[in-house]
Amino acid sequence: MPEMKSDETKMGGTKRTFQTTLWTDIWNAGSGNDATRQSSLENLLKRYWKPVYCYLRRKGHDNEQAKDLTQGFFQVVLDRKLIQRADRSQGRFRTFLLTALDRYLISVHRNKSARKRIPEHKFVQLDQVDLAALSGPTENLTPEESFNYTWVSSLLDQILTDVEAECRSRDMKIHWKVFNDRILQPIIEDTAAAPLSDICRKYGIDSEARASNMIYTVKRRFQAALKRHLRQSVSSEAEVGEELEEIMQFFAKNLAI
Amino acid sequence: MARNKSTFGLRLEQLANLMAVGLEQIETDYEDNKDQTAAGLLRICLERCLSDDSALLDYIQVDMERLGRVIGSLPGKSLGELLQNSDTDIGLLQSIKTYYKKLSYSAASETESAIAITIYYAALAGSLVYHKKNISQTSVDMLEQYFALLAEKEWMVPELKKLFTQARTIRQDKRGDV
Repeated sequence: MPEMKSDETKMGGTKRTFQTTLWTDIWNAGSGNDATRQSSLENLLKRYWKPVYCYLRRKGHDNEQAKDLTQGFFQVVLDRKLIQRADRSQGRFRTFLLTALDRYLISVHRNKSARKRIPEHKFVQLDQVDLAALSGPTENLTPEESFNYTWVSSLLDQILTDVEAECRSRDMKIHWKVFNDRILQPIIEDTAAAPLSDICRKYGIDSEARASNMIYTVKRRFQAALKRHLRQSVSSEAEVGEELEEIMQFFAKNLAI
Repeated sequence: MARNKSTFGLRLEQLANLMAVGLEQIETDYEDNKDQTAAGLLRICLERCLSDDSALLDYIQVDMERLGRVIGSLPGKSLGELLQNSDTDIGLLQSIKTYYKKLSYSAASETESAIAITIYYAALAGSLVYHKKNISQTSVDMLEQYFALLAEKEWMVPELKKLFTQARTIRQDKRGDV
């Protein structure tokens, strides 16, 4: 397409800066400010407790042990010594967390007293979660693969929740419904996608071209949300690409088996 | 219809398919009928009565009032009629141009942006064809190239293809007048 000459103010901007990342959260989680600490900790837990729990289960810990170790690990994450060892320039947050988790397990094994490290206040109310359901899908995976599976699943849940909320807030509910019927549900339910003509009739859309464009719009927002989430766990744009590549390698390796 | 189902528990293939939605070059499902989509959207924009596009109508009316011009019976007309009518006021073409330029920046998709840019250039072409005026800061030489590019698009509707071609022809016939 031809460009337009800039004889008018360009709306919006293109310069992109990294938002507060999980690295910042981990520092804030160890800070003295209660409000910041709580908010940062909740952000960390929301994203990572499931992968950590599943990793521990696949390491051979039973339900109770895995719950205790998950609680204990996030207590250790707040330990200033661990935070001080966390060098954000040396890798991605996910890698750091797995390394830290392994170190924590070694430490627990040495002390043989995991419970001593478990905080009185439980960060994650694991008793309220259906933990039995968490072990099923990862049964045939290694601990690392189990962590990655759970991490990808949590990431997708966050992305889908964000995109749906965005569509609703922008008066694009029909966009979301069309995307849901045509793309999301067929994947999740393992069914064939409904013909666009049926979807148009269902939602009163005047043409298939319009419906197709609605799907395209939601896909764009899905992509943007994916990158936004990944940027929170890395320290440069290049690492976003590396993270994506690693995700695809994870799928390629396991789907090839 | 809030989503309450987690992706946890899906097979790896299903997770991979979902992730692919975010990783693909977007165009897969859409690429096959991209031209059809663009042509369809452009047709809708051109044939819809202004009364059915309140944002555009409001913008034009405010703009015309600011210029002290009275444009009668606008709501019942379509954008396509205005762009193809030699009686269309040049101020109205300027207003359409400005509106679609702004719209191109906030478009939700590449196709919507392309359609907005097309109508922007159609307004410029109309001003050249009907009023012999260049209402942009782009040189007529450059406009000529852009009109050619747009006229060649697979999805371009015939009436705008004709307008872009006419704009180029006028330039060639009356070089220096615009």
